[in-house]
Amino acid sequence: MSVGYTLAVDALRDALGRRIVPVLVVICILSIMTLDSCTSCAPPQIEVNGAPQTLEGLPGGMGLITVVVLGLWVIILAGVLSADHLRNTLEEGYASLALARPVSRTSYAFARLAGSLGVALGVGALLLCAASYLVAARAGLPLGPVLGCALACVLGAITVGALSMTLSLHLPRLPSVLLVFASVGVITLANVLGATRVDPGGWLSAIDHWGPPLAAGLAAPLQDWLPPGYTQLESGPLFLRLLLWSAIALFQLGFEFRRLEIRG
Amino acid sequence: MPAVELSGVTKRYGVRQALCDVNLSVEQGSALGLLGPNGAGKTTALRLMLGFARPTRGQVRLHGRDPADPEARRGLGYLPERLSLPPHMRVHDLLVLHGQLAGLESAECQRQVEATMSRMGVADRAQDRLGDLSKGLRQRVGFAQAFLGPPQLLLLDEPTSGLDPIGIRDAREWIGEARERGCTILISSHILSEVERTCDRLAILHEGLVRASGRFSEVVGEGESLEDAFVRWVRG
Repeated sequence: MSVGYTLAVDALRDALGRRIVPVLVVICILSIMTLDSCTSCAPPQIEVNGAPQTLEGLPGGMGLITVVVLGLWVIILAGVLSADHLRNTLEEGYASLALARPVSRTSYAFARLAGSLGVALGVGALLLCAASYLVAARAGLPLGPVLGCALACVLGAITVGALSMTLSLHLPRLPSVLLVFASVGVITLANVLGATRVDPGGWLSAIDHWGPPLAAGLAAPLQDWLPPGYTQLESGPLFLRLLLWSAIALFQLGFEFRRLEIRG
Repeated sequence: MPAVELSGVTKRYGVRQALCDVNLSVEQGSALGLLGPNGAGKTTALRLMLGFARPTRGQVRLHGRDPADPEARRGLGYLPERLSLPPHMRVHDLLVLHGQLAGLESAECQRQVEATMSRMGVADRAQDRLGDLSKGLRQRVGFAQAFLGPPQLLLLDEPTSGLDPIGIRDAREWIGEARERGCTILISSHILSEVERTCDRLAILHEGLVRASGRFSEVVGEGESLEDAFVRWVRG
């Protein structure tokens, strides 16, 4: 059994033992119940001058927004959980015993990240599967695009989790968590403006073009749920950019943790 | 090749100098007692040996390798001064984890964990959570994890802290057994009598400088107690 695997299992066990996990389970159940209730409504009947109108794109649009919001929630969760999953072991001193072993700093940091991502993505898998099934099956939408969305969610979670863990090496937990919320919020705003072809200009435009496309990456595969012409997000380049950002975030985490001086 | 070697090591934290041009060598199979008053730089020296920090100047080597290289720490057992163990974890699980991190195969790991728990007197608490143990028992678990492998090099920082007189005597026996196996031992301690009973070499640190090092007979004058020698070297 490799050292990395041993550490990752320990980190996951540690993450599952956190007090926040029962709260997440309750939130998950409530979210699924809410989704079940919302998606069981009959489609709205609208008449204009006595003629019935079909709201083309409404189920797909609502489905896309629901799945993207849930995906963003999972990405934020990954950032929040990662903000202290490594830092705690350093502060409490547990890390020093493990790092006195023939364990590389990179393996240790990545194992801790795997632990926090395990919980976040476990919650995400549950939520996205339930939401996609309810939305797609009841509105007659194809399930295939959700796979691309799930992949974007994993890459987004790795990016935000790794960056949040890196930040936590230098900042206390609360500022790290607030930065996670603020960053995901700003990136989402930039992506939404970009997708709706409103050029915000300035740094929001730069974030949309060069930053990690968290919301755009989640939404791009789900465009098939919308009538043609609503959005023009290109899945391929967005995935590549997300992949690049997750690699940068992982590299940064490994680099910063190798440089860190550890209390004995 | 020395098991541990510090050559011209200086370590600064901002403007504070924790170690100043330290040269120290621990030969394989020997037991060195690292003595010094509070703030002398003992823990900093250990942190450098473990690769937890890098020297500002000079170099540190474990078996000829940079301690930042994980392979340099293979066969190393470490017991920190402020031992902190995850409270939710069970004694057995922690030791299995450390056995695996030390590179033991599954069956050998189980065998060593059982044997070490039995030797350290914690076998009957194997399923207890670490948070439920007394300080003395936690220290015994700390010893147990450090002795898994078994180690070729032991770095022990105030190893008897929290132990009762029986525990202190047991610890002395465990260290003695490790020495008989040929393990190199470095003990950082304030308790002079412990160092006197377990080590064959001494290094006295004060204000980041090595004031004296060598065999007991080279550091302690004839007819002089270790305490008197310690005070003499520290006060200059």
